[in-house]
Amino acid sequence: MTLLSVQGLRLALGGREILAGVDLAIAPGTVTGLVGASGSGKSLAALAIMGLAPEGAATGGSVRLGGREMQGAPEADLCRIRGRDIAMIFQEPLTALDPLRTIGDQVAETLLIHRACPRPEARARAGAMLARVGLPPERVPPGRYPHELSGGQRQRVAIAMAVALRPRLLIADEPTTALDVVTQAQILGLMRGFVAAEGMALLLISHDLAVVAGMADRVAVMSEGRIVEEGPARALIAQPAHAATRALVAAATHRPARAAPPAPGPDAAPLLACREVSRSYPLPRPHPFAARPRLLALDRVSLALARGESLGIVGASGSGKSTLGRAVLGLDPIDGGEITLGGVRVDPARMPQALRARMQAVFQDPYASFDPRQSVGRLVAEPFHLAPDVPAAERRDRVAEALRDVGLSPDDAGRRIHAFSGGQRQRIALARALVLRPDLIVLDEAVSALDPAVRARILDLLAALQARHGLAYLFIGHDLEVVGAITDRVIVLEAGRIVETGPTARLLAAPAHPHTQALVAAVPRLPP
Amino acid sequence: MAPPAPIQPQPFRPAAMRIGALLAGLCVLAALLSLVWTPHPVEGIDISARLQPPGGAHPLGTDQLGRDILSMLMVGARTSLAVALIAVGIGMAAGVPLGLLAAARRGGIVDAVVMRLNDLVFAFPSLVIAILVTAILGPSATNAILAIGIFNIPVFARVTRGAALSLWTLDFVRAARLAGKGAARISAEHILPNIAALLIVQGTIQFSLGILAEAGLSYVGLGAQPPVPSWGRMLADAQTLIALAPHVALMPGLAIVLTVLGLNLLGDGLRDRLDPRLGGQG
Repeated sequence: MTLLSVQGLRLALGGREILAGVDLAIAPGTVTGLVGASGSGKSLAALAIMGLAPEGAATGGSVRLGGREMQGAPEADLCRIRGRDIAMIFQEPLTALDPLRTIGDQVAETLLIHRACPRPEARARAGAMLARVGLPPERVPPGRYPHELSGGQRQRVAIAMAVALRPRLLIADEPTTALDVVTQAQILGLMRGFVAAEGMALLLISHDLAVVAGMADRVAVMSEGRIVEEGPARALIAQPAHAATRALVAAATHRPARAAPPAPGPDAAPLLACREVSRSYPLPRPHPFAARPRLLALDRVSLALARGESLGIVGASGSGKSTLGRAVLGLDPIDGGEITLGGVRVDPARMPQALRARMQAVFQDPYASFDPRQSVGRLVAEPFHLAPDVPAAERRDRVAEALRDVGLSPDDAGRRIHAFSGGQRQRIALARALVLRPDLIVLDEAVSALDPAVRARILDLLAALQARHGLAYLFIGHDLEVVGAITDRVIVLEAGRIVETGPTARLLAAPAHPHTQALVAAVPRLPP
Repeated sequence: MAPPAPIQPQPFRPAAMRIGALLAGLCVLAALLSLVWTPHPVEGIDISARLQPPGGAHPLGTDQLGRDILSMLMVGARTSLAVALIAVGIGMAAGVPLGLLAAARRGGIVDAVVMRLNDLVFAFPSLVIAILVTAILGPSATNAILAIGIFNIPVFARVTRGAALSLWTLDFVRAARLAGKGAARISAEHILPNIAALLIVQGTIQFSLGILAEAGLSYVGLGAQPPVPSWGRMLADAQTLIALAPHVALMPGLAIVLTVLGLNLLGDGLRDRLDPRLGGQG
């Protein structure tokens, strides 16, 4: 008995075939993982199953839900099925909610559209539903708006909306990719609980095999628009048959080969030193005549980083790690303490060009990191603004060298940035950071937006570049395992305060502080 | 993380843009042609041939003084376009730098001063400002330009500031700061090119509003003075004759409507074309 049966599902967009015959069967009450690298067609497959393929897409094949054909069914019928029989949770919890309506109304809407009950009862059931997903009315009232919630709380609202009518099938498309690992573990746990309690089937889509491994009964691997391998989760991960599956398994367990960190000299001064750094942000006044309360984003943080060493800064969202990164780079001012690079004070108000040139950064979002109107060559050459006396010919040579360094071709300098994928863009961002040959590179969640296979290659590249150029890295991230793969020491931040610090291997194996333990436990892992 | 998906432009857009470009182009062409040739001299008063219906030697007829309406519309287009164009120029030249400055100093005292001054100008209806300017300087086409231009400044300042603010939060601006670039340089090299499309679109909208404003000012006698022909004054002069010879009022009215419509269609089309998120050439 199958709940959802997909046979030969095809989808072409603008003449390009994206789904080339997808076959998938989901039994009631089971969790199926659909995994594949970026661009393998997972998300479009989910949308096509729901009958929500993008405008202008040509679809074919068969999608049967409980024996009823959905492909080609009239839109009015599909509207009755969506939300009641099949529900979906999307990746980006901010854009999946209507910013102008309260969360209670949005959950109640699902009930009202399908005429499940009258309005007052829908309100009450919405409130109960929000409480069940961990948003009790006394802490998070249903009258709140999405912007007043954190990313994890918004995803809880999205889950409440999706499961309000107890659909038979829940499709979750990368539901935790935009969240930090601790929140990810909570959301996955919540979904697992619902599926078990309500007897729903779940189709969990992810690029990360480790996320799926802890949840799914069966796993289907997608590559180039087809399901290339399907089977029970444990067996499939233990003995992957297809090359695409092996690549996913390898990416999930990958650790870059790193050279030993340079032995520090007996009295060598650190490259970067932070002493008692504090930073606070003003919050909105609770009432017009109150004093502004302040949020302490960094609370007396001290650290030292030697030349050629790499130091990880790990913490959940809002722990102050990015604030620290921006302060080190001299982009944001600090309220107290002192930051020095090579003994020179970092002060955003007065930053000598020579000091600026010694540190560069790579940011999280590969799509926001580049001015979309400039060529790659010009983007990579941007830091030469700090070295105006370097002649044009030498600039060109050094841009070409930087591009080669990160595994791209010097010919790429003439191309426009939209021609490059997310992983390639992070390589270009690295080239831009390398071109002035800095001492320190701050990597602020530099691999968090990438899928595991691409992430593994970027981590390898980072390790190789560090060995070649003697770079020091300040690697900021929320995933202790990923940060640990590239760092010698880790600092764990919680609410702006350092709660634990030590060699990476020791922290991963034997975390002492409860927050570190939570971070270690939250890391998704493949079953041994 | 995926790049933002392009929004499919609606299929009737290109046709609408072509019609807009055609109408606006016709108006520009007529204005340029009037510099070297008009069917009849516009000062050619011929009382014996007054209020003639369209056709024959006067394709659009003649007015109450026997002047050729087509010739007057052609020369009037010159006035309308020149006033609107220079007024948009004034608005951009002053408004865009102010908006960039406010965005660069966001949340600071400079930002507050610039934006509150904008609010001050916005608080007056354009006609009141125009009356103020002409009361001080006397009615003329130049002063109409000044009045409409002043009114354009806060529009461009706001659009610029709003768009620039969202760009300032992006990582590529952070990367530019890491390259040691100051706020002025970042505004010129990174912010301005990325909001240029928006400004061009706003420019065409303000341009069509400028034509309307010039016609309005001329209509109440605060714009171009006789004998320089202007669409608004032609309309005002024809008002009393509307029952006798409707074409005298109809022709300048149509000229205004079609030019403004054309510019608006063109502006919409340009927005679709220039906005990289809408799938055009980025």
